[in-house]
Amino acid sequence: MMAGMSLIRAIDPTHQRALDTLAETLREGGDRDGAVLLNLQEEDRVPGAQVSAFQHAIADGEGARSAIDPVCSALARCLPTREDAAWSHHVTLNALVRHGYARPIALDAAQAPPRVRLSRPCGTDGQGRPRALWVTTTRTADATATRDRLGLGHVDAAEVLYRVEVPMRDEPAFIPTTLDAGTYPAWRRPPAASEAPWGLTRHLATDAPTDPELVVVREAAATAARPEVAKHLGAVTTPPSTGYLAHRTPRP
Amino acid sequence: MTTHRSLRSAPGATPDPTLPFDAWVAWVRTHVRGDVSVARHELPEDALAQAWTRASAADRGRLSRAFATALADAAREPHADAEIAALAALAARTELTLALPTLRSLADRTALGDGSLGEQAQSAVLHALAALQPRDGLLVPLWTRLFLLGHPWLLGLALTALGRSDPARALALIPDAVRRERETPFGLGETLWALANEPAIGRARLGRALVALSPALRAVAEQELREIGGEALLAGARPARARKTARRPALPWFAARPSVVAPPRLGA
Repeated sequence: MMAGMSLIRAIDPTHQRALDTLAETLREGGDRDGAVLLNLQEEDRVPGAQVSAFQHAIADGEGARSAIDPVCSALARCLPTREDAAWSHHVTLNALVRHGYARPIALDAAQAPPRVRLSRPCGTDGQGRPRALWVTTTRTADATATRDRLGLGHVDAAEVLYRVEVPMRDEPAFIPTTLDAGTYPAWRRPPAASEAPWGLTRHLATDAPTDPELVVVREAAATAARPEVAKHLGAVTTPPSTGYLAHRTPRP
Repeated sequence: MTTHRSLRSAPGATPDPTLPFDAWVAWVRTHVRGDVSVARHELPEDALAQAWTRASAADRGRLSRAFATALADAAREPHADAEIAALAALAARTELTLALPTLRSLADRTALGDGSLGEQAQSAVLHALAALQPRDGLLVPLWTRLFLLGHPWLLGLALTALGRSDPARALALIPDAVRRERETPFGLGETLWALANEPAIGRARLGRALVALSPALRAVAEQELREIGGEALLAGARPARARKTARRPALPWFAARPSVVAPPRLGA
């Protein structure tokens, strides 16, 4: 275990050149890539074996930016925790339909029903295999405020937001790290002083640490007997703010 | 494949305007193919929708044409289900009427039983077509045919789409829809909610259609509405109760005749 290291400071010196290439590519890529680079620089909670695996894979990809997400997906979920508070997942109606959880019946936001019955438990794919599910304790009733508090930078105006309660029983839960977030720029690790057994969402406008968040992995067998519903929060009324980017300057 | 570097790394931006139109189409297809990575619960088309929202008027027009061209190109290729689903969903989100001819031809393939598209892609195509359809009634035969095909994954959408193009016909099909829900659940509650919130129908009209159902069918519809939190619609969906009148109980014949003296047992 060699926690405390940046993801782009090479453990094996032969990897440093590829990591420098990656950093340079991200530095030239604009604000959002700058935020991703900062995440890679700031992440000091990942065990050494995973840092090494990450760096090895990036070196294999010759420092290509496109290698980040596949590597992160393969290595994600490395900080186990156990929390029993009331957690919920937030998702748009479009995403529920496109991921096959709900049928495409409503033709516009006005037709979105108060509750949508899900065809399978949230956090499982069509074959019943678990998918990482991001959950928070947010109880804000307003859709736009919820989007902003959770840092859901991909949810645009007019999207309809739903909340799915996720009972945390025996499912493995994890504190998210940069490896879970991959190249999602609106995500950032909690401040270094935070010792809570969960991560913290970042407000889209201010970058302020806001609500507890975890990644949960739900086994299909444990969720099969629970028909689930998504509850309507409302239509988001504004485009997502990028104010958080003003607070994300990667180190030189 | 032509891609633009600033776009690969900047979701929400539009391509360089100096690039040829083909490069814009290639950029769109790169995104929906999943060649551009998406994180967390993003959809492949999210970044494209954001680019469209933020684009200038001129860029928005070019982007719209690029979306429509990308869909038309994908529709001609085999095994392009994921691309077609993403582009159809994008068409619905950006109100892309330019995509209507392609959506229509893809929908006709579904109605004719052509099995070349998977369920997800067909759903996305039909949903986009239903949302964007002109209100001229031309698609009424298509929606009716799809409803009669009776696929559970299609019934709710076909009826909601019909509610937009021919409200009277959609309301007339409600008894049939309730019977089908009893046999194979397809989301009747969500469908009734959508019809009630269709401007050309409205809650009162839907309520009257539910009142006209037989008690057994109405019970199914009411239960479905309760399950999706649609209790608000039920108030208009109850048959009027027999009005309470001020009629007194019938009096015995002799009570109206003061000359008749009732025996003590019948008297007050």
